[in-house]
Amino acid sequence: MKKTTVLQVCVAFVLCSPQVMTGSPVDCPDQDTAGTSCSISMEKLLERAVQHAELIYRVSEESKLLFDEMLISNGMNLHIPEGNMCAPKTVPVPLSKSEIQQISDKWILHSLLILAQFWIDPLAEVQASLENYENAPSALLTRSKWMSTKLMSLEQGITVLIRQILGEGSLTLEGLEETSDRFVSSNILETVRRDYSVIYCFRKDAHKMQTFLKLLKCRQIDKENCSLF
Amino acid sequence: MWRDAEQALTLIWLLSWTAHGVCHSPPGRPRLTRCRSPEKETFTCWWEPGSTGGLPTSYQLYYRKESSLEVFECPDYHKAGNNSCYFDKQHTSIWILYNITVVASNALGKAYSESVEVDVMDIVQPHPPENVNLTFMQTTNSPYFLVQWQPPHDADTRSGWVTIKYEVRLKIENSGDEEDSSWESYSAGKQLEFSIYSPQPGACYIVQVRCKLDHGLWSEWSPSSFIQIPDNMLDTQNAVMIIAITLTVIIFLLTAGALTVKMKPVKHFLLPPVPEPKISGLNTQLLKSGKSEEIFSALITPGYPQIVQSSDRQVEYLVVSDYDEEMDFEGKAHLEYQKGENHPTDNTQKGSQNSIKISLNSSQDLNTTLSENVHSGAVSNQLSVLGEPQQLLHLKCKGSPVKAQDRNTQMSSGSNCEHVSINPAGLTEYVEVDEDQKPLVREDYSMVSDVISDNILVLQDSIPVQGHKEVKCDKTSEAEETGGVFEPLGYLETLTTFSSES
Repeated sequence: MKKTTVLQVCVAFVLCSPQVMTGSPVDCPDQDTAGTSCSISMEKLLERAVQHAELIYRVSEESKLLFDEMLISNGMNLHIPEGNMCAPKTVPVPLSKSEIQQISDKWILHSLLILAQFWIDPLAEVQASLENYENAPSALLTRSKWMSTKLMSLEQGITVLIRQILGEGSLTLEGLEETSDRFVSSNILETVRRDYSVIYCFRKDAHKMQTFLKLLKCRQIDKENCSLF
Repeated sequence: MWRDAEQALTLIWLLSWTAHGVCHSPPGRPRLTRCRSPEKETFTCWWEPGSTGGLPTSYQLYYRKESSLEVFECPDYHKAGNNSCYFDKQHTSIWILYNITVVASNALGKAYSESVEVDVMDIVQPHPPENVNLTFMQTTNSPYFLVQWQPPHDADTRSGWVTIKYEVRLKIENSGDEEDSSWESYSAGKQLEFSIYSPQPGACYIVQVRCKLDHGLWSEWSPSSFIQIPDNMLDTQNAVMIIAITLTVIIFLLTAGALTVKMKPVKHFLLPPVPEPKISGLNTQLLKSGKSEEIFSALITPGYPQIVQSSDRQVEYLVVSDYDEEMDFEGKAHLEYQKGENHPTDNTQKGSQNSIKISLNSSQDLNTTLSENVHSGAVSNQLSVLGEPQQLLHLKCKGSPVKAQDRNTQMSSGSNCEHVSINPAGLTEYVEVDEDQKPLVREDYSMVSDVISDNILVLQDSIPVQGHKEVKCDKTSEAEETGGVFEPLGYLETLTTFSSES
């Protein structure tokens, strides 16, 4: 009987040994452990988001300048009256400095998301439309493509930030309907005017996004002496 | 019977276990070796398979996004080669952590690797720079060679998405040397070229470049580039040096030869002999001979001391000074009253001149002073004021107009007179000692600062006189001024001889 028990024990070991232990503990590279797995720390996320927004704003400035040069070289002089071209969003976004000072983090994040999601489609349309121009500078084309890609990436980042800071799920924007249908016009001037207005207004909103993110970063990381505004 | 069955079973199990290597078994555990992102927009992960277990094994890579439980499979297994997974732009996000696992599976089972968390920004390592290009430039006297390169083609450096930094390293290729020379590294910043100055002529250099994005990892070194430095660089430099050295040596030899041949004249030329002090009239030979009379007679030169002979060169000296108030320099002026031909006056007054020196107190009036002391009759008397450049002084003295002028100026003819303004200044003192002159100078010879000529001593006193004194007079006339720089030398105590003149 002893032999059999010994053999059984050996067999049990033999059977058990090839099996691999799955599910080893996850090594978190950062300190943050949110829920079941790690996540990138908020400081890093905010830094990356601010860098994104700054770059997007700078590229949008350059795009506007390139567009201006293109118009001038083609003899078109579009006097865009300021103020009534950039359509207000359905959800109000804080604009003035005093409003921004009173705004909460939650509102900042929501405004950011609204802005980012609003501009993804128009930028894609403009990029497609610019391809049809006769002598659009290639720098302008690359930049508009770059902007739409990076804006989508920034939108992802804002979503992640909302999840981390506010703990919400992915935010669904209520009330943001498709206000702008596909704009098809055979009139070249109208098309050009529309494209220019997209770039012009996006530049303003990119600056807003950059400002919001900087403010958010300042508030989250340097809580005590945030004298940005 | 049970025993037999058990033994058989155990034997079978043991056999299957021992025959692990030969027969088929589930695969061994794979291992993720590394993940890299070359441009912060995509990334690739590689793994190392474990044992295959003898059966054809396939590998899958699964990943989860951060906290969600949904599992995705690798989008591209082939782009980056064997045992790799390539995540393109759509699947790469810098906002989340990836939880990656590799599964090896064969007919007998599966094996799971350890899970790895990946943050895309932390695994950034670019490709090495491309098209490293070496050119040797021989310009003027500073030869150098230029290293040029291109950024890796997939890095987006122009938009500012990444900031790139380069590093160059080089070493001399030693063929056959025991010691291999070590690499020298240079940081090249963001530029796309780098110059290496003063390369060793005749050497063969090996150059490599690498780059880094933001704060990521350094890339691999680019493939080596070689450059051979030509040898003839030396000639131009050396020729000049050789010529210069030979010339120097020749000149040196010549001078040495000249010196040895002509010692004395050269020596005199280079170091002229210092003249010994010599007293005129004194013959050292006479001294040796010891005849004292002859010696001393030789010493006495005729005409010494000089006696004033010619009358038209007579200068009257007038001392007007208040010794009680000597130290009060406020408003004192010295006027040298001089008569004579056109004669440039200067610091050194000859004994043949008579000059009237008038020193005034602030309280005194020039007129009165003059009237007291001056004999008139001197026409075209010249008053020169010593010291600072003076304006023209016009004095009326007993009807004889006197024009005072700057010491360095020419004499001017007298004219009817005038408004006087005096700028007294602290001036040189000088004392003219004359024969029948009773010396008014103090016994204190420590005040002597200079000896101008045979009979002039310059006394020095402390405070220069500054001030302006106006003496009323009748008319004004133009002042002739000449520029003359006078250094205030101190209060001038004048001694004059007053010799009346017919």
